[in-house]
Amino acid sequence: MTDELEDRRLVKRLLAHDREAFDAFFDGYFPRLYRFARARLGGDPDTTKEIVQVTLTKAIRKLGSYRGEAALFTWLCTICRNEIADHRERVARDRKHVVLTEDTPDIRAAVEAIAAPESDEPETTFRRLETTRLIQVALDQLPTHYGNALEWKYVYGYSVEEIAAKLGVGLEAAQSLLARAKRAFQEVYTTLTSELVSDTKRDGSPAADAP
Amino acid sequence: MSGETDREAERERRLQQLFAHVRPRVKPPADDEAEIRRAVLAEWEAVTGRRILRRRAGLAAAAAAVLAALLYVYGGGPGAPVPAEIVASVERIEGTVTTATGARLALGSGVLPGTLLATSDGQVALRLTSGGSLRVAAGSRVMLASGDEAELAAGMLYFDSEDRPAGRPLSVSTELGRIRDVGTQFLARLDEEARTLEVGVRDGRVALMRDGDSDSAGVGERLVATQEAGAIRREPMAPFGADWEWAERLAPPFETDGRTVAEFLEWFTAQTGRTVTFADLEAERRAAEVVRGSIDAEPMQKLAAVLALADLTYSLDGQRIVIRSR
Repeated sequence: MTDELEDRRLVKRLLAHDREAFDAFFDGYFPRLYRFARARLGGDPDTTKEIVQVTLTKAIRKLGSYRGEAALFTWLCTICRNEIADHRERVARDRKHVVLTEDTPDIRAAVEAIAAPESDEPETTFRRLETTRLIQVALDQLPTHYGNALEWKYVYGYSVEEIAAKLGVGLEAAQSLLARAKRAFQEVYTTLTSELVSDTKRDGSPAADAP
Repeated sequence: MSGETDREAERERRLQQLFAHVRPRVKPPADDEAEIRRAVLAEWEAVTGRRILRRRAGLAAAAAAVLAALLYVYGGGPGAPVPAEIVASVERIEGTVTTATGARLALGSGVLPGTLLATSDGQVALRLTSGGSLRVAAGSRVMLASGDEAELAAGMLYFDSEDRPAGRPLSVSTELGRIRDVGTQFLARLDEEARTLEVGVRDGRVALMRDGDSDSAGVGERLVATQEAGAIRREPMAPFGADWEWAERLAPPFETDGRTVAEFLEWFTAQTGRTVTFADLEAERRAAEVVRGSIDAEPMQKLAAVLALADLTYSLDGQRIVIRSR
């Protein structure tokens, strides 16, 4: 069954007022959406909380218009991106009326001098951080149980038996799921890094390694 | 076979190498997760509860089941902490609205009993868990004591009882009198400087009680009470137009996609106090057409857009909206 088909079924169950579907929806998408928003809001917890709440509230209201043309997570991210854009516009509007002390030219120059990163920071650190970030993004792009299974195995170091227990499935089913998850991860990660490579060819910054 | 095993082993080695420095993904704070779950669940209960009921039965059955669905909210999700008893949630919000503690409200936020809301330049529509839509205009201060009692300290509010169970009126206290709805849509405006309270009625009836005196008003009327002793005054007031426009902007969202033009018009008339007539049979026939696409706009703009999709147009004739085919 394709992810889109699964998503359409989940939405259909949500619209039919199926409580288990709500829990699956929230537990599956909330953490991923939270990280998606947080990464785009500079890690600000209050704004992230507000944006995610508004995104999910609006998504619930628009459920009837979800046609399954894109994955549900992609659809949620689109709503979230719009909310973030609106938020930035609002903040920019507010800032036009407020001049903060640290925004006066002299003080800003001093603050920026303190906050500026070391120009000779090792490239490897940057590459490692960027690789980590892309892996986490790729995990969030996968169906929830794939992302979780891979994280449990490679980040937390759980055995296949432990993963099977966490998923509530047998050993063979867990192995099979892990195999599918690895293939899906490889596909998503390769897409992400190849996009990065084509971007870096344009701007000259380094790319991450593909598996 | 061996080739495939080798490839698999190599893939495994590369994955382990790739993940070697990866830390666990960030987990959302548990408090935030619980709060957002509560808000989204309440929204889902309201949205899907209403949808199912619309399909299964008439409006009367909807009222009872939405209430049942809302009561279910208090049961919480599996593993979720027991939620605080909210009396309302934010259905729409424009600009900044804060509580007395300085907390900012967002779409979907829950409101606890006793919360004082200050709208300053913003405005907000609350969905009461006891039923009905309470909207607070800019420059107002409103306290929700419970799902049945509000206090208007300054400014203006609008209440639409909608699916609220019969026999459960909303009471609004002000320093110039106490307002009680009898299944209705009304607005109350307390002018602190002029020491005047006005209560305008768009639908149903509203009673105003003050110092042993009481009066009630129906559609197209307004009750006025001032600080000076004396009877409550009753005056005519149009149930549509400029006085009501701010509340219409905060109307509950209506998802147009997949709904008929007629269903939209039903929502539109309830939200604007206007009536609809069709100028020709073709226009009436087209009202059965299903709208494709979501339209996020104020009611009047939404009307123009929905009608255009069905190749219809309209003109205003006082309270009446006259719809005709193009």
